[in-house]
Amino acid sequence: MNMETLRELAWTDFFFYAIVSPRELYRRIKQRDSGMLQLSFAVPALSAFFDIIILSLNGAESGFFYHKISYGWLLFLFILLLKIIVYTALIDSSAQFFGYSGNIKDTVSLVNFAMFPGLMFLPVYYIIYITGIAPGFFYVFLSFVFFCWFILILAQGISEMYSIQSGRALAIILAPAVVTGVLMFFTFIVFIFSLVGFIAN
Amino acid sequence: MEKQRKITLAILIMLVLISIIAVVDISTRVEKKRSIQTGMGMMAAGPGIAIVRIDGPIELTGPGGFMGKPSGAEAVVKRLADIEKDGNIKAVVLRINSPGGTVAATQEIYQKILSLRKKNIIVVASMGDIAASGGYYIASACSYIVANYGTITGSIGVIAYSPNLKNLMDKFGIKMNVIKSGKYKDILATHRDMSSEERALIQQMIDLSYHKFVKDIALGRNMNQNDIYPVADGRVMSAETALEHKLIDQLGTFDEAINKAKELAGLDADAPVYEEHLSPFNEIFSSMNSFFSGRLFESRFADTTHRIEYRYMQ
Repeated sequence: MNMETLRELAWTDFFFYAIVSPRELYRRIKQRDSGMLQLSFAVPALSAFFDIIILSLNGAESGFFYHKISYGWLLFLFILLLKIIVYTALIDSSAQFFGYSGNIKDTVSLVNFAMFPGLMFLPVYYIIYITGIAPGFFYVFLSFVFFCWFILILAQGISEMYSIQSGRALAIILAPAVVTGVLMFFTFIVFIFSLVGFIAN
Repeated sequence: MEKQRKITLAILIMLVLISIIAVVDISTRVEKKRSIQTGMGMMAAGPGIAIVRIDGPIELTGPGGFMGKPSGAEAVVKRLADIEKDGNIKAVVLRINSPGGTVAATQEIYQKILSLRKKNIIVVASMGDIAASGGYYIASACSYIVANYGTITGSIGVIAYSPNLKNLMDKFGIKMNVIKSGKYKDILATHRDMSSEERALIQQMIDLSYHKFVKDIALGRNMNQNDIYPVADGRVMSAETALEHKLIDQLGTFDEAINKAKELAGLDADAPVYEEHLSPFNEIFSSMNSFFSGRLFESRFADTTHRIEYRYMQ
């Protein structure tokens, strides 16, 4: 992405369509503009930073804040990138399980841009925090709303990617979460049985 | 399309701005709370003692000064001024670990300490590794001086220096073009020998500063100037020798200085001690500033500014 492209502001289209038309967003991603993948990682970078600020607004006021927005941001970003990679790999595997071809590069970009509306959490929550209207409730409520928005963008993007119904796309997205949840549940049960057996002996 | 892109860009800029505002907002509240915790906000844990630290060469503005905050002697004077206004601070322990510094910077701190004493705030000096020349000048303003056995102190005197690079410049064929308004305008110039008239002029300044030094010690220590002159020949001395010459009051540690301050101020033994705190941002920017201004390594001869100093040259 050179200066000319930056000036044209064509790169802002990704952010715009992430909000208004996730299907158009995927069509733009598919065109594979140069620098698009790198640009998409600006969203998780900002998201990690904004998350730290929101947590700091809720937390105790102490000098630890300076560590949180410096080293904490790097840690959050690292964890977020790890989550994106793992989750994208799972979605891609899930799509292949349903009989579609894998497309991990576009899925990574889609997941990254799908997080963009989540950046609105900070301004909205900051207003609530300043006015002091039930910040605890709104924190949980807004987290849920923005998570649903993220899933909605992803579902429509995946739907466009494989030309399938949104419901089927939702199944592709949620299948890894369900499988992981079930596996974790059984692992927990086995762990509890092992622990009880160990204590009993 | 063009309008839509501009709107998106505006949203992105707004997001960044809000995040900056939120960070500044949180930082301000953190600093405010910290200021209260360190006892400078009147509402803390009751009457106590403040610690003020003077480390390294004394200059008016030292390394640091993040976001317009004062540094060097100005920062020390500001902290003393804050203490002066704070009704909770009954005594100050000035931890000095300095070989001295510039005349003006030293005198600024000296005067501020006297101002505190006039308001019945006890000021106890605790000397660290070294409190010589300007370091001792500052200590002399205090109500009481405690020094460790190993403290190097004394060095009562004034010094001015500049390298004479004439031979070096001649060797390399470097000549200086000097256009000046008066014959003394390039006094202490490094490219030529100093004339006897110039030396006399500088010596006059040095002598004036020296007599002021001795006079101020006598005032701060409540001594006769004639008792100071015999040891005011620039010599450094151990704390024990300084005690013999009544230049200090007690041999002891930093903790003993704190206890003495509590005793003199009539405070309980468990009275709170308020330390000075720098925010991590300030610390980071101070060290960055030091690094970029090249102060992490001291290069005396590369420093072309001429100064007259109350300083022990190690």
